[in-house]
Amino acid sequence: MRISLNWLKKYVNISVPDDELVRLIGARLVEVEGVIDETHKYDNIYVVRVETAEKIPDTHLTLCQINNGGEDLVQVVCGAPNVRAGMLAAWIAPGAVVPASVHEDAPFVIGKRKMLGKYESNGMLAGADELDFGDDHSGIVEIDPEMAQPGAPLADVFELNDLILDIENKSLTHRPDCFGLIGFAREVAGILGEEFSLDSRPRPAGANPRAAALRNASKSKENSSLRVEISDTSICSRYTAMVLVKHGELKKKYLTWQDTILSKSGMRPVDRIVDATNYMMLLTGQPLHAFDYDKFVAVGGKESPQIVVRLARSGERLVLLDGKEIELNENDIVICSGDKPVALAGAMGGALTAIDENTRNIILESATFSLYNLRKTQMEHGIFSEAITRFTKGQPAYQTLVVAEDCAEMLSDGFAVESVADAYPKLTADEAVVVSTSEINGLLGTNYSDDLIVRTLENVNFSVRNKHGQLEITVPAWRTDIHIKEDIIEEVGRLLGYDNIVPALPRHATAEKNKMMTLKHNVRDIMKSYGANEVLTYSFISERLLKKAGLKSEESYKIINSISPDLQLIRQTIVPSLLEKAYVNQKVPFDRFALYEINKVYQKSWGLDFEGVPIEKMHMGFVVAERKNAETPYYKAKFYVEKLLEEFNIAVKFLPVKSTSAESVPFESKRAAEIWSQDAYLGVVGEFKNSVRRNYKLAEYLAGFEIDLDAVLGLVNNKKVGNDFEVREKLDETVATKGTFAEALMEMEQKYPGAKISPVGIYQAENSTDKKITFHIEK
Amino acid sequence: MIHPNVLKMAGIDPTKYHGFAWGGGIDRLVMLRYGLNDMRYFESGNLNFLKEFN
Repeated sequence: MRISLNWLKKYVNISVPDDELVRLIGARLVEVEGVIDETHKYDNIYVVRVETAEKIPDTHLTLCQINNGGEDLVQVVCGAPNVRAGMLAAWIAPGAVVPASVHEDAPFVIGKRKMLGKYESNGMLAGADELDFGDDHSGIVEIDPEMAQPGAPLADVFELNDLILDIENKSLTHRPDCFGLIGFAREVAGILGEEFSLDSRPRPAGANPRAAALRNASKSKENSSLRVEISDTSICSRYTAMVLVKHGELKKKYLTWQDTILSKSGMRPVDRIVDATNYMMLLTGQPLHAFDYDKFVAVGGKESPQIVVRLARSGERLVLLDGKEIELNENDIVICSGDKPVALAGAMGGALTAIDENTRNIILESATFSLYNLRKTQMEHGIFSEAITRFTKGQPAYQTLVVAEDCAEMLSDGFAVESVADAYPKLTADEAVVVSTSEINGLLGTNYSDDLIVRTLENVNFSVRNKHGQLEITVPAWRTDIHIKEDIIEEVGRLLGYDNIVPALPRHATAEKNKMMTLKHNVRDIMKSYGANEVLTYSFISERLLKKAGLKSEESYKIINSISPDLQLIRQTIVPSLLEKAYVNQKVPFDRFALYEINKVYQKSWGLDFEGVPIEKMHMGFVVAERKNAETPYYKAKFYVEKLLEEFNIAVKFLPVKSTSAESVPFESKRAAEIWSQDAYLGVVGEFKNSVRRNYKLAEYLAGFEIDLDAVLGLVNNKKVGNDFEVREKLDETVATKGTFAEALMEMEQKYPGAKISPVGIYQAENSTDKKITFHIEK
Repeated sequence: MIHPNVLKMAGIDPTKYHGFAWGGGIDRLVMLRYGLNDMRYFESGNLNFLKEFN
């Protein structure tokens, strides 16, 4: 959504510099994606009067003498058919940039040149498209002589030196009111601590919802010829229709200030009627639609229009304004003439009832529709108009009538209101919320005075009765997002600025440290010290990956709406993903590496938890792979398991593989072991089946393990984990001995009293009587 | 701030307790810090990438 600052300033007194305003809007209301600087877009473009206009024979060109406010007339050659003596036009002076091209890579600079070899042309008379006010290229724009004198800078006449805010719509989804300039201005007033009132501003649409509701109640039954029927109030809370009858030609199409507003807001001026509905929408957030009255009646086949709002029936078809024929579904809301759909409600009008240059009479629609239905309609039919963007935020029903009235007012030079029908089956009562100022300050951690709180809320038109700090608040009709006192508290905090809340430490103890986090942290430190690399792979995997590891896909939970067949299953174990990454890295090539991952896994056999949700466990998978090593890889994987668990003071034993659980499937049971600590099963370590290794195309030296970190955590010696990682001096020492291992160990214990000593390896050459024992010592 | 209804549903008295919830997209911050242009590197498991951070 684009918002012109010049337009905004007509509705709110802005007391801060523009950059500060943009910062405040970003901090307190909505994300401002960008600011488009148009302060020089219309430099050197002037209002001029065409004094003489002579056709150049045998061409479509006209030789004009124009008055640009200077002493001498200037000669311009103009190709537009509508140029004529006496008119006011917009003149782009030589050296100026064509506004429509300012954002292009090479902006088009207008010069002075000779046409047809003999007619000097200075600058150009501009069309709407060149001025970036729409696509109209049929002629040059004409300016109302009541608005300007020759020589006036165009930018001054139409307030074109402007900054345009580019608003991020998604962050304003809960605020339908802010999708109209008035609602946005009200918020800006609130942020700046200014009172907001529509009384002294131009065009009072939406100014007084209470009066509108009363008027509506009195009008609802008055009409005779125009009938509105809403089949289901849940799809349409209010439908106002107004018949406008033509009593004269709409005024000549001058370039108007509204045209410039439409353009700056990202819309295109089309014709007087459509422009009026669009302008009112931009101003109030309430979209409007105009039907050709006579076509509408003809479709219905009755004497007078009978408007029916209902859900479409499956199979019904409708040709839209853009000429596209769509098939409707049972979610779409349609506007019917009698029983025949003529418009896709909230989204787009139909071709059958479109207004055109011959339109005599109009039905003006101002209504609200279910945002949920419209959201589906939008996605189903791919319609992303400014109107449906507003409807899908849930426009409130309070202002449909006043907006229609103001729109009719904009067209009153050509049309008169003949009749009004206003179907408003469920008048919604205003919401009331009670909250005390001490509750507000208590939750925000602020010390705002009662007066400041009341004024802040009143500035954005909440009505507040203060009874000794107890605030009885009536929520304005447009605030569909306020229901409970926390909403009011948030409102006060936001409008006065969260950045004004003084930071303070929480006055309560911090939460207990997450033991699993600490365990993982320690695991990472240990694995890092032994040279392993942590990886992160997807929890969603393909059936192919499972099968390569020998696992069954039916043991995996399946994602119903997965984005790709490759991400359809939830993994049962970590190791298969690591084997795939081992292949990637061996191919690079890396000759030696160890990869591990810590993540959640899901096995169907574990069943569901008490909430009926699959049980998940935290696993650690590990794979070590080398390309040029003839030794037995089992010991390398076992080494890592031992080192890891040793750090947590968990004594383990390695037993034959008996389990058939998912983590042991890829392992070759004859060259693998189950990891147990006392009675607790922790996982499996060893080499992989040859078939698995070949499926992953990996070199022979390959082993790994998969352990259950939840089980490990259950065994962790609290003394060690929970403290920050201990820093100990570490060293390895090898001794050659003829004696026993126990003797060698005792010797080391004497040499390093108090140190933690563990054997790393024992080696005895075939022809030697000595064995070499390597110890790892941590002082 | 957590909506009081959420606390209620979780069996927590919203008049006694309130909650904050927030999260940071840590990978996006890392992308900014190291000038990475593709988030998928993080899940590539490629040692060439991982060793950049050793």
